[in-house]
Amino acid sequence: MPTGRELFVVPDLKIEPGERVLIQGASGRGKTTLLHLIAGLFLPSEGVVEIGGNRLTTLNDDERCELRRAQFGIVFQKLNLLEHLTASENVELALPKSLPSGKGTGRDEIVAAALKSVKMTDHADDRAATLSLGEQQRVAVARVLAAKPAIILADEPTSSLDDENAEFVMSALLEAASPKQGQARTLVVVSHDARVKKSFQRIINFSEWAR
Amino acid sequence: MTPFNLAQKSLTRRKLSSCLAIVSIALAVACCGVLLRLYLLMSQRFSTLGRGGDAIVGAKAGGIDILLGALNSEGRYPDFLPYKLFETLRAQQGVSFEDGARAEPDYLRATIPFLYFAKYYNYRAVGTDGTFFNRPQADESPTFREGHQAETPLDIAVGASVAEQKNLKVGDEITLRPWVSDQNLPSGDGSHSAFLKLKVSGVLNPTHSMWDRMLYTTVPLAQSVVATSPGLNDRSIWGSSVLNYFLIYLKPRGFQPLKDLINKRTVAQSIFVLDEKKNLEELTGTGQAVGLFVSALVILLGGLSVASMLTTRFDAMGTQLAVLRAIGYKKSEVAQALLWEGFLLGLSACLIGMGLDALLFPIVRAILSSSLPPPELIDASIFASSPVWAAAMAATIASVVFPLLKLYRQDVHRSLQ
Repeated sequence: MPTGRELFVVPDLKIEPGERVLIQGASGRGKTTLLHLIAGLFLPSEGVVEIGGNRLTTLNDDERCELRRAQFGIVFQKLNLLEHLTASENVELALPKSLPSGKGTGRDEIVAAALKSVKMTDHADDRAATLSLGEQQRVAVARVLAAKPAIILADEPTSSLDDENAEFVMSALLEAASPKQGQARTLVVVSHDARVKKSFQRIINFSEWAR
Repeated sequence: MTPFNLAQKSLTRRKLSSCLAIVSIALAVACCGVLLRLYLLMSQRFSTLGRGGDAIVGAKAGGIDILLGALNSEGRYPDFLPYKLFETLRAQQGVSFEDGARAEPDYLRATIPFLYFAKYYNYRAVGTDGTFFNRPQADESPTFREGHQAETPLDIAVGASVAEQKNLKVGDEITLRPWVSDQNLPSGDGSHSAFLKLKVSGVLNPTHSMWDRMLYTTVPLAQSVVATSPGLNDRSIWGSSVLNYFLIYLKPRGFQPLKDLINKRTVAQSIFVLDEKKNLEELTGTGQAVGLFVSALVILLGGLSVASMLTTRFDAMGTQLAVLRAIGYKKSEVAQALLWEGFLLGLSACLIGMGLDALLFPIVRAILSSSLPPPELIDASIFASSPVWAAAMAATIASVVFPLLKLYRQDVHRSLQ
């Protein structure tokens, strides 16, 4: 860890492809840090994190970035979007580099479909700064939908939302994680929101599990 | 989305912040460009001095006044010297004084008469003779591109800049306004007698000096104009038999005896050209150094303000850079976006700054016209400001360095918490 301070110790955790995992626990215990460990945004002081055979601790920063771009879709609690970009541009940010840019390449269609699936078509050209928190979360989910990643990580995606928005965002995330064309998608959500429990196969109580 | 697209959108979407930064840099670029060009002009101001021999004799005045009046066409209309003195020196006649002293001016190689008498637009016309064009040092002799020197009182030869600016050629007739005093300039009432109509007899080759901006005719014609000047008797006890300066070529060690003769025994004063040029350089060098220091200070302060503004701008983007990194953008890609943004910002600002510089400089130059060399002689083109553009571009891009360093040290995990 950057500070050299031991924040917490987690036992072995293996998440299978296609699994839906909910990590619950009190605030400030390290749930977000665990999520960032999985995404390679943060490296453990001891032990290893392995994603599909790639050991993150042995990858350099660029390789971890490429892995994130290729395999991860991340929804944060807030600060998801680049405020000066429009909703559609924020979604476009996560599209694979391999997808050619320019008109007629299908990028616009992918972005439009993703925004449509989170009911944000009308706000496609609105700047992120002008969107409400609920709308921003939807755009963040649309970004994940557009990228079609193998692993979706969501950090308290519903904590600041009202019931209606929370349900919508959660169902959109579950939709994004549903297997498409035979490809299993893994969903790991960190939340202390009791409303989301019912949708997960596996629930880890972080406070009891980690120390 | 490519780094270039990210930069472009970051610039165009943050309109107020971008405009403020661009306008600030553009103003700094324009001001610094104008200052730099002025400095260059001022530092070259006296490089246009005409080449006029080793010494100059003029009416009693400051040495620098005589130097600039004779060789740089500057200042008020100079006082007169007796033509008799010129004749005595040119003939190298021995002179006896009442105290028994005697001077033998055999140390002179050439004595050139010089008498201002008219203006053609802002160009000064001078009465002189063949020695002006045939000097002891051939490389200092103005040569003719076409035609010849004035040989009759109706002829006048023109300098290269005058001919070029006014599109003159041999045979053209031009009208001059008499100028023999600053107090009694003719009103230019349109009467034929107030103006002189002369024919161009020759056009000089460029000398890249003040000689290019003058017109040359005979001493008798110049003196005839002086003769008609109102109140001449109050200004000259010699009537119109006068000159303003003698340009003198000396034999080695000739200045001291000339000085002894002229400064101590006559109404005139002699100066040694090299000494006065040195004095002038020392005098103006101090002013230029102060000017350069102030300019450098303005540039530094402007640069620091802009760098501070840009650093704040890029620093505020920390979280957004973290989001980009979290969704898989490499450090190098984000760095490219930042550098592109700095480059586009600097480029836009420099282009606007160039436009402002091009617009403002002629105005400033016109305001300071008498303190700067004329555009025909020394041109400070817009490209003289190019070091400022390069510095502005470098400074703008360099202002991205701090955010870049932060980016490379950024802990994305903490930034997103």
